[in-house]
Formats: sequence, C-alpha cells, structure tokens
Amino acid sequence: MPPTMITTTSPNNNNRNNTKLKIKIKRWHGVARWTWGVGSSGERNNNNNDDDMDHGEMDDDDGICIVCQGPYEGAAPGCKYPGDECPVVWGRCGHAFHLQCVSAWLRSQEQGDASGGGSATPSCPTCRAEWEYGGSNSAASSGSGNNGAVLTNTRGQSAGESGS
Amino acid sequence: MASAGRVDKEIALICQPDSTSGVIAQVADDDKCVPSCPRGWRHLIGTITGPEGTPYEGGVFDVDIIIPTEYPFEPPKMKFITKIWHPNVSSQTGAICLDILKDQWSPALTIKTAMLSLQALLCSPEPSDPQDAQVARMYLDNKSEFDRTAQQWVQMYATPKSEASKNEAIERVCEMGFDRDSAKRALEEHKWDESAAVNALLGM
Repeated sequence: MPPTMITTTSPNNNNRNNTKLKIKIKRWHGVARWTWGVGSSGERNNNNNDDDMDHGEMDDDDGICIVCQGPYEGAAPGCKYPGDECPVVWGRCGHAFHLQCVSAWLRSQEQGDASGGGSATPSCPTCRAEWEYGGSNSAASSGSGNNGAVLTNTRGQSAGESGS
Repeated sequence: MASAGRVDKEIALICQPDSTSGVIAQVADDDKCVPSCPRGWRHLIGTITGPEGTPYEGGVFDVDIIIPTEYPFEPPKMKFITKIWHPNVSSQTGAICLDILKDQWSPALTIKTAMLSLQALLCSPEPSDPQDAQVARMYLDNKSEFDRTAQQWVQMYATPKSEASKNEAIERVCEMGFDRDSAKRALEEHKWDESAAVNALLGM
C-alpha cells in the first residue's frame, strides 16, 4: 500500500479560493550518496562535523586522488570496487590518497632505496613531507590526537575563547 | 601497478592545443611498439616553445618522452631531440639533468608539469649542477658568448623551417650528388640538419 500525502496549498493572496491539492505518491526511489569526506565534495557533505573540515580545507583538488587522478569515491587502479575495498587514507601532513595509490608509491620509493637510487625517506606525493599515516577521518573525529591538523585547530579555538 | 586510465587521460590533455602554456605533445608514430623499450611503454613527442626573454626565444624544441609501465611511480623519461645549448642539457645526446625527472619525481607531477618544468629550466639554467660541463663553463665564464652560442643553435636547429628554406636545403644536398627523394628523406629524418643528413646519406 503506497503512502498517501495530502498537501494544502497556501496561496499568499487571500482573495483566491483555497484549493486542496491531493497528491498520491505511487512509487519512489531512495537515492543515497556517500563520500570519504575528502576535498571539495567532502567539505560540502560534512558541514555538521567540524573535525572533517581540516581535511577538506587542505585539499585544493577537485575530489580526486592526485596519484591515480581518479575520484576518491571511485576505485583505484588494481581495485575492483570502490568503497571499503579501496579506502582513502591521510598522511600526518593532511594529504589524502587511495590506500592502494599511496602504498604503491611508498613501495616504489623503498625499491628505489634498495637499488641505490631514489630519495631516502618515504615522502608524501603532494608535499614531500616524510610520510606517516595520520589516521583516518573517524580517528580524527574521535579525537585520537594523532592528527596535527586537528590539534592545531583545537588550539586555535581555545585561544579564541580565552580572548573573548 | 601502472594506471592506464591516468596515462590515457594525461595524453588526451597534453595533446590538446593550448596557446598559453607553450607546451604540447603528440603520440609518436611508433607508440606502444618502441623498438628499444619494453612492451606497455608509451611514446610521445613533446614540443616546447622557447621562453621569451631568453636566448631560446623563437625556438621550437622537440622532446622525446617515454612513459614507463611503472608510471606514475617512476618518472617519464625525457630528452631533447632538438639540439640545444644549455648547461643542464647534453649538447651531444640531449640528455637532461633535472631533479624532478630523477630522484625528486613525485606521482603528484604529470607529463604536463614536467614539460613546464623543462620550459622553466630554459629560463633559469643551473650551471652548478651541469649535464654538459663545457656549456656550463661557458655560461659561468662568458655569459655573452653563451647567449650568442645558444641563439646560434636556436637558429640552426630549433627554428621552424619555411618551405622555401627546406627546398634550398634539398637543392644543396642534391648538388652533392644525391637524388632528390633520398635527400629530402634524410633531411626530414635529421630535422633539416644538413650535415647530419649528408653524413647519414654517406653512411657515416
């Protein structure tokens, strides 16, 4: 039994006769959208979670992983399906990549070291800072404290409070 | 793990005419079957316009670009096809000394940004880290002679040839006793460098 919705139009003009509009919804499609909360798309969708904003602001890309140039919400090369199989990870520097993409890069840097070439330390593809996994979105929002960007933000807020 | 999707996307982007950046590339005729390279490598020919206000102004430089299977985890292999007088480019082989094409490569860079870096290298040579010691010494010891030589090389090797001057070159090679067709072919193969074409015709 499909649900029935009855709405009443409320015209601004009182002179007009009230007309009752009867709408019967026969069918509907539920549409859900998910994101990893990275980049511009993440920023739009996570306004209710302040901790996520730090990640969003640090990425000036258009919601794509700079390594594979594909969307964060898509599947990285070597991944069949997007989502849990192909998660997004953050470095301490705040830059985000597909797990598969950044680990392939770190692996290739290690191999470069072994053969005598390449740079000495594994580095972030974007800023060349020494790469350390900086926790995922959930780790940041639960206040695990290992994300530099979140800590900076907290300090900034408390300074503002004490000043007022 | 190579990402073919990214390579295809990048090739489509870099092959688009773009009047502002001064860099463009086209897929080489032998793409995907470069005789000397492993299977799966891609081969492009890039073109860099000489930056204004440098001795390279007015020049058009061809760059050989090979994208290895491991790209973007390994840098693209680039070298100048067009001869160029520059401290960081071998005047003999066209090999380039540029950190981002070696140990400073990052997968955040692209074919286009690498080509733009090459163009920037033409603006600001690094004679302290030379590829060609002779050129670097001239750059440091006698800058005006360096500028003059670089300009001469642009004139000789990097200036697009008009049809008239191409015909004159063919005539000159023909006068040395070669038939017109093979003279033309040799000149085209050697970017209208007459001595190189004649040497090739003589089997040297």
